[in-house]
Amino acid sequence: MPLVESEAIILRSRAWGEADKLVSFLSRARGRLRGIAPSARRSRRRFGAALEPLSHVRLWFFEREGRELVRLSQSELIEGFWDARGDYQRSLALSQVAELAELLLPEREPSDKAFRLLLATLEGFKGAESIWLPLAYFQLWSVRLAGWLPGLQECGRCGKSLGDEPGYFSVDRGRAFCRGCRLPGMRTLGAASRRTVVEMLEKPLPKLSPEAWDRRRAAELGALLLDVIEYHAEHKLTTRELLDEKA
Amino acid sequence: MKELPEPIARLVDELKRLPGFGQKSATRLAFHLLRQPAEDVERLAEAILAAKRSLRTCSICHNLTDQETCEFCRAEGRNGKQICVVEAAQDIVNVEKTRHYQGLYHVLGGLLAPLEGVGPEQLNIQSLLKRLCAQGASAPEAHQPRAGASGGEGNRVEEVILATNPTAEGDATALYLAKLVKPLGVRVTRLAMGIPLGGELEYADSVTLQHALDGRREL
Repeated sequence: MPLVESEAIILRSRAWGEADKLVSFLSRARGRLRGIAPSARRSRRRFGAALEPLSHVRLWFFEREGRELVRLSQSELIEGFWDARGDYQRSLALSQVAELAELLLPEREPSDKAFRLLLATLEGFKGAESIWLPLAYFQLWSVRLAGWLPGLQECGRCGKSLGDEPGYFSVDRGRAFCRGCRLPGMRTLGAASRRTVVEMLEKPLPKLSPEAWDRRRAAELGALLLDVIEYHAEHKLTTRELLDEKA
Repeated sequence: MKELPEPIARLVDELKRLPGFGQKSATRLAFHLLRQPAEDVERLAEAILAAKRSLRTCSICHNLTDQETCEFCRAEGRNGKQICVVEAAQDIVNVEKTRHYQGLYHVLGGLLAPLEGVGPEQLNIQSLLKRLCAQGASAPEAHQPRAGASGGEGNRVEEVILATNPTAEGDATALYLAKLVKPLGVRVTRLAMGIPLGGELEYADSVTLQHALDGRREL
């Protein structure tokens, strides 16, 4: 039963039993895991504030053969990201980030890309005035890393480049269509949103210009990406409706 | 062959649904109950049923009560200028243990928890706002607080104390409430956060210390 030490980001924690906590986290060394933090609710000595959702921490835990849950031994806070949650809307957006990470990342499969994406997104939230850019960045890269990113630059039917024209998209077809080939009920994705997709895939989050980012574009792109996620994961996101209502 | 006779297995299954009870502790408690005299067990079962049947939530603050309003909302001597907002009714017990607070309460019935699908509509937030607005002439008659306890023009609420847990969910809830309550002209405060009494700096993490520094006060 070796002790594992790893950087980790807490995704969710909740009360478990009389005084324990059940913690879901993304570790750099072992991927996404769930574990029990014994007496974490009774005593703050061992874990302190380091088990709060979306905290960047150093964790020590025991893996036991054949057991789904690991046993957390100790944690040390690296960055709490409390500044990133300035209001309820930010909390909702951060909750969606945690929900997507839990949904899309398979258990016990380390992915340094996914870890760096999550960390960069949290840093992005900390410095950003608006939540929409870091949120859309995380949604887009999550879809890309899951291998579900649809073709958005050419018409999926006639092959014509969409250029400055809007694209039309339905999740079950998995491709954008041009105006001439579109079918009823397809979601519109403007040229500006498609350019943003290209830019987001080429540049890191701090290099993207928040000025060029408006709420409408975020809603358009976010809705499409969340449709893709819900369709492939066959799961309705809990935070989507709450964030839509709040927006 | 079954490990336990059916009635005991059923009792263990029911006890396992209680918070903090696993298979082992539920089995231990089931056998403990079976060893007790029948009248003791009947008294326990009756007490549980009586509590469940007679208790309801206070029509003003949502605390548990066996009457229309709870003892705090009915009390003449409480300070109606302060309302302490708590997550659950059991939090009132802990605040009352301090013997330091004489104001009224409001029970939210949970915290905003987006990952669990709990939004503002699931909490007793509208009734809090109605309580605060009820001091104005435009408030609906049904939401007027009782004289002597919850309000009246001479007992206008001046401060709302947010006593939610210092967790991510508690923080989100407090920020959300503060944004709604402040525009009503009511002072909004939050319980202090930082090093607990008897605690040691050595074991405090950076976030806790930061909050303690931010909330320091002059001696």
